[in-house]
Amino acid sequence: MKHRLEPLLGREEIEAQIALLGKTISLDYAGKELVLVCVLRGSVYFAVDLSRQITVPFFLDFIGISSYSQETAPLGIVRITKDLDVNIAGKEVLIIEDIVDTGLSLNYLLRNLKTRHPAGLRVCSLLNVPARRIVAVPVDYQGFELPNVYAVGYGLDYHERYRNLLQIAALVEEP
Amino acid sequence: MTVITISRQFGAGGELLARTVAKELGFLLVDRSRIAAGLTALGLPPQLVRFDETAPKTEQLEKKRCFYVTALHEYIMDLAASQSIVLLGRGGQFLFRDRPDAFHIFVYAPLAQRVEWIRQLYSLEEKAAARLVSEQEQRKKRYIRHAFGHSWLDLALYDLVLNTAKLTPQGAIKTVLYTLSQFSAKHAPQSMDKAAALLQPEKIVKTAKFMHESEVEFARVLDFYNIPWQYEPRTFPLHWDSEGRIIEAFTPDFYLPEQNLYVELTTQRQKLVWKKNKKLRRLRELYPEANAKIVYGKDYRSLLKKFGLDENVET
Repeated sequence: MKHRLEPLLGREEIEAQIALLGKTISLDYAGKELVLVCVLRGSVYFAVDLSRQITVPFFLDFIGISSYSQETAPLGIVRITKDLDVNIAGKEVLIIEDIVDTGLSLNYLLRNLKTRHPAGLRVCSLLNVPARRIVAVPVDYQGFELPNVYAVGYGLDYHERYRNLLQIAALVEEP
Repeated sequence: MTVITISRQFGAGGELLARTVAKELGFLLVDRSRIAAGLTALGLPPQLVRFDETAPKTEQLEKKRCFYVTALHEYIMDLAASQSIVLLGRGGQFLFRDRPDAFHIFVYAPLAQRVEWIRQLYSLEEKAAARLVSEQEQRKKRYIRHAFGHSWLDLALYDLVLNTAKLTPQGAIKTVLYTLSQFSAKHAPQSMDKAAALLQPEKIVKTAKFMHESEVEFARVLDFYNIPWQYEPRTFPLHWDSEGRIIEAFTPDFYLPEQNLYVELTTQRQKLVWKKNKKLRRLRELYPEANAKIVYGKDYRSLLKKFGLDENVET
């Protein structure tokens, strides 16, 4: 597909918003046992920058889930590809996502983590695209609400490209 | 020959499962209507069919009931001697307990969930649904206990136990077909190969008879993320003529029960979808309780992009 990139969010804008998110989260989780759950792979960039803005103690962990593809096993069911190393029972869990659009994978993740009985389970997403939502999911902390575009950069990829961009851009199809 | 027995709690969806599995495997489905037709054709007085799956009531009827049960068991054993069958209920887990080529499945769901399904299915008040479920449950329990002297809740009777509240209907079917494909196949290589062949995801999904390839893909995505869905379960009349005939209606492609959401998929270009938008507005006016949304071509293409399913990349 031929495409071009149109700037959406600049580096400074993103940094300022992440600093604000970090402050809010630090206030909300003061005195609590916080586990940051970063969802592999796109959210790593955001999780690193966000965690540096959080001033209360936390434990950082990672989780990976398989993505839908036509080659998935015959039974084709979403599964955990990298599980948490920490036991989250009784702890305050904050899922860190780069983007929430259809809500399909986040819905699975929430259902899965809920069965492990955390004391609290919330979601922080840098980007939120409610216009594309199929499954209703909560986004407790959001960086930016985006219109219905396909965003790349700052961890978000298109066929593994553009993750390394410091800004966020819209991928626009060209005829 | 293979015998698959499906025992089910009332309201847990065992009937749909039995019907689909029989159809997919090409086995004879032995359920109430097959039994009634078969026994009557053999000369059993039709009025005796009402004793099907019932426990003794009065002494004077007991003789007739026993006669029916004996005829029923003979009929089922005869059927299973000459062909592969899916037997729904009727104590199949006991009748074929010692047969090595029999596979026994038990289908259940929590009471509250079954009451809710029955309430929806028959449009009942909650109390009436709860009463129906409890009556049917008691009846089945007493029938099995009386006919076989054993509780049907003994796990040792079953090779597979399914909680349908935790699975989508497609998921339950897939689980059964997959399990049957792994069933020590030496007893029935041919039929079980068929179960394995049916596990190709498109074959399962296509049982819903979709109109477009995009709908097949969308259903697969929902299945993948374990989101229960129904295909075109409801048509909403939108306009009527002066004699009350429906002249325009809208049938959204999907219903997601957990989200209470109707989804209409359109892969047309944005400017061609005004008609669907108009229908959606009208739907919201007439049926404010129906939560519906259109997934536009652009949304759909984003979904495919996200999963790397769009065409090759060029810059």
